Amino acid sequence: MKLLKLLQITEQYLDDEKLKKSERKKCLKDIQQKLKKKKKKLEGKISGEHGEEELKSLQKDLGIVMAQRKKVIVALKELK
Amino acid sequence: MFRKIIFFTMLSILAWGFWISPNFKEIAAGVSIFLFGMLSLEEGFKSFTGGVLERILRKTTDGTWKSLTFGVVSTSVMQSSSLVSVITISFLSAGLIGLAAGIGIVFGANLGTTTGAWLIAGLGMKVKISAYAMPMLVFGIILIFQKSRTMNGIGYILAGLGFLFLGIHHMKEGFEAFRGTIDLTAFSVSGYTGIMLFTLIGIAATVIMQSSHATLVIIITALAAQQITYENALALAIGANIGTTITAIIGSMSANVQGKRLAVAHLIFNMVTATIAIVFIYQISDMVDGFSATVGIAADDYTLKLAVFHTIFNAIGIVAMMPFINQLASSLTKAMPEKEQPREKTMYLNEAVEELPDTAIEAVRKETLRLYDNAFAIIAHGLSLHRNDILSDKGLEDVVKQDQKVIPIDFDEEYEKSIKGLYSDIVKFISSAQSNMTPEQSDELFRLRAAGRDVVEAIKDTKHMNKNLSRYILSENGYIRAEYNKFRIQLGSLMRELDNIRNDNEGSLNILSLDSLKFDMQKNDVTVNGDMEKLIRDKKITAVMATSMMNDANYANDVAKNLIQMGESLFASGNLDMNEALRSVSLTEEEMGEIANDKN
Repeated sequence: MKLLKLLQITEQYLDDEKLKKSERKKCLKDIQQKLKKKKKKLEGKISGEHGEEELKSLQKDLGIVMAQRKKVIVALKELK
Repeated sequence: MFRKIIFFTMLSILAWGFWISPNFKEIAAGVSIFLFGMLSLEEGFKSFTGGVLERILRKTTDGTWKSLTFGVVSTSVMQSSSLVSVITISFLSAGLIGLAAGIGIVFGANLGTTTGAWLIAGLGMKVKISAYAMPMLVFGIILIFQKSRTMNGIGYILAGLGFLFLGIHHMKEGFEAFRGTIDLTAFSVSGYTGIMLFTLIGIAATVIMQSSHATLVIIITALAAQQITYENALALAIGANIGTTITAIIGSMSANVQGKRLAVAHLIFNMVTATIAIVFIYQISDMVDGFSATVGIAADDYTLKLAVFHTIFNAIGIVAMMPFINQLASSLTKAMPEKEQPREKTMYLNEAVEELPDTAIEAVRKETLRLYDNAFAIIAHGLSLHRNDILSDKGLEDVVKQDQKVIPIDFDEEYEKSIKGLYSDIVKFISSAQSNMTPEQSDELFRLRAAGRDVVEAIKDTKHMNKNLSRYILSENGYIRAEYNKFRIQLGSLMRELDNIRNDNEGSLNILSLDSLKFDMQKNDVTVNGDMEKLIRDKKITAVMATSMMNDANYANDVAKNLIQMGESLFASGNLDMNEALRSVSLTEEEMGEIANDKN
């Protein structure tokens, strides 16, 4: 079993396409995590904000972050 | 002319040597094959630059000891201190690492290169390595013809090792055959005269071959064949150490002042180390005997003892110099100050950064950012705003209200003075730098070139806007004045926000943060059109004013679009895979529209 895994890792490393895919996956996961943090931060700000203009701006940013997260999930699914 | 005469004289001497001595021919062929192997090995490792090596270098240079370790490990693995030096100079020139870190790497490389002597003495002289060379060459050459970059790199490394082994084999054979005809030890010189003489010979041999490894392999094979004395071999090894700095000095000639400082640091280190080694050669030799006895190296195994000597004297150099690394860096910075570069001249583009795709890309990014900085002032003045006001915390509405003066600006003159020359140098550099790049790396360079074009376009659009803007912000008609002030505020805010995103090092989501600006830009465009129609309908502005406003709204929109596009390329991180992934997640105009509809 271990040998099989080792062979898979080696194959992945030697195949440019597979290596690229795994790099892309790693990057997307990293982005996903950062966007999650950003989303939480924005939600926290929204709950404490009372100014109408500021609130609108924060909600806009939250909407954008959520749309971006959706795109990450779709991209990750496509890679699978 | 003089160089040509020397070159042809050397060729003639070699040809004469081959004519009179077949053994000399075999040794010279061995050296040539060995050097060819080194080139192949470097080519192989270069295939892996643009990824792993750079990532490790970026992460391991935040401390002097880490830099030192990187130097030792990378040189031990790649068996080429020259390649490590070139990479370090390239990184320094692109401003990716500091001078102290660079010095640490070069010190480490000096110690790492001594592993070569161990390999040659331990493996090359004890095992019949030509038996390993043949299969390595066969597999290596097969892999070189593969399409995959990784396979290709492995192929070059294998072939390189094969050639190295083959070269050592021929040198060994040549020296052994020599033994039967001539005894070179008859030319040995003992005492300090011999040490000085053979140190000079070691320097000369390394300068000619541009490789301390090649000199060492000759020394070791000659020592194994008992063609030189142990004492003279030690002096030759010291000379090889000094001679190797010549490669770094030649490499630094095309680099900026940072690269030159590193080359001088390398020279100082090797000179100090060599001085210590020469002065205390007999004491170090005793240390070598003691160490060899402890680890079980035979008293008459001079090749391995030479390797021990090589490692010990370089380690002594590191111990002596490491505590002063920061002082050395600051003294060199003072002694070789950086010339203040005029803003219209390039600062990062030079031959040294061109050596590696990563550093070339980073240098172009930094230079284009300088182009943007120059453009920033022009665009700001074109909007009759001061650069400092845009970059301050002041509310731009208040700034515009308080400052109703028009800032006079000659766009053509400013463009000639601070944009044109720099922009054309960047374009020229990109054309020459992309020759050794992967498609992804070339794409990144094209993206950066497009970012430069966006900057230029933004200036041109501001110039078009400026004529009406200068007139209408002083107009008696408050409505048109307010509309043009809106353009100023919107573009000023955009530039401020771009600056915030550029300086935000926290999240590395810079490209995605630009989506918010794109969203605002779309919204502003819709609002301006709505406002304008209302003003015309209510007859608050004349038809001439309305046409001007319509055109200028388009120009303002184009300035914003160009600046955001520029930000998408320039504010990205150094990791190409990450940038590609971020761009794929960035929202399109339709997706922005959907979010806007959801909000309504």
